[in-house]
Amino acid sequence: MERATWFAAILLLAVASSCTTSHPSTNESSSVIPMQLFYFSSLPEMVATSDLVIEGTVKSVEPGRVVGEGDAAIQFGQVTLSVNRVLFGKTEFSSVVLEEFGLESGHPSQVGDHGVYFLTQKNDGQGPQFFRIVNSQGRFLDDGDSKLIAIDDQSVWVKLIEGMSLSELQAEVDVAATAVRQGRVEPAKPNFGQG
Amino acid sequence: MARRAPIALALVFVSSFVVSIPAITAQANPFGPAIGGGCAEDWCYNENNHPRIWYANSVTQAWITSLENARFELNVTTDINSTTVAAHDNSDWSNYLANYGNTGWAGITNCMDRNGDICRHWHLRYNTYQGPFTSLQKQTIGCHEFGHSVGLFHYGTHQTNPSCMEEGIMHFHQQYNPHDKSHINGYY
Repeated sequence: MERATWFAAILLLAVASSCTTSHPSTNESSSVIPMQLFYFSSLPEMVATSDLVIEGTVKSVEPGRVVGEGDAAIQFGQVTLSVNRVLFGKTEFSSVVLEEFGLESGHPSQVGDHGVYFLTQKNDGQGPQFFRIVNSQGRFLDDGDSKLIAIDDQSVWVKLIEGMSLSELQAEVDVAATAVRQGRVEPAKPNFGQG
Repeated sequence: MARRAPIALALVFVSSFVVSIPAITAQANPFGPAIGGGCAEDWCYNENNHPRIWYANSVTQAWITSLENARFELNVTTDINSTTVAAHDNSDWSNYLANYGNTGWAGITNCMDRNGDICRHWHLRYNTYQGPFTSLQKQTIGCHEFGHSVGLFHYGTHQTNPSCMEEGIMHFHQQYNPHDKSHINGYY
């Protein structure tokens, strides 16, 4: 009986340990806060600015590319995301690879994360074809009870999405996508070099 | 009873693990509690009100000019009295400029040495991939990153009293608004 009790305890600890996931390794503490290019005022604006909106699941998180030299360097987290469903845009692949650094400060991706991701292609010529979330508003995770939660952002319209189901958000994205296709909503554009 | 101890210990361990997962916890109001009232968030610099600022060799003169204008704004309009220093090891805020690619941000503030709620050393990075920025836009980015370094967070909406702490770089302001200043001066 005593042995069985200890066995159960060890099993419980093993289960807990298996839940841990490796985070992108950086030499920095977790406090990272960006000045983003965009901060959207509505879901349609965010859809219009995204290249791809998917329901996905994080399959792996690994230390990614190091950019910059010496103390200036940053290291991206490289996140492989399976594509469960495409809500906006097109992809022929069953998974996409995200690079993350800075936009997801509330919650670096963890294996098993599941939700809706608003993505943009990086296209910066610095590496393979990576995506990133379009901004800190562009990720809604399943809370495990089939409801979505926004963990990176506090804006009013984002908070209104919290509590929706995936299918309810998909309906909202469909409406937004129609508005985008009809030209009623334009992608956000930064006003660099002006003002 | 003793027989149950291992299970109890394991449950305590598992519980503490589950509670520590940062996953699905919503952040508090991103601006309000960041400073003042005891500086409960991560974004506080608390050595004193004399942060020492260093610019890496990678920071061009054009950026330094704009960032210095941002620093003067902080000095002149708040109780902060920052100075510049010639070496990283003597600095509290170290500034870097590099092409970080299409990251989605123009600037980013990282705490490199945290002690509880207090950050003792910041790295401020500016991304040349974005832009090009005018000198005033560079100043806005500096104002924003310096603001984080003294404990300010973001406004999620455009403010009636404009602030460089507004989220996103859709609006370019080079100053802190009265709300920002009251937080800064209330703490330092």
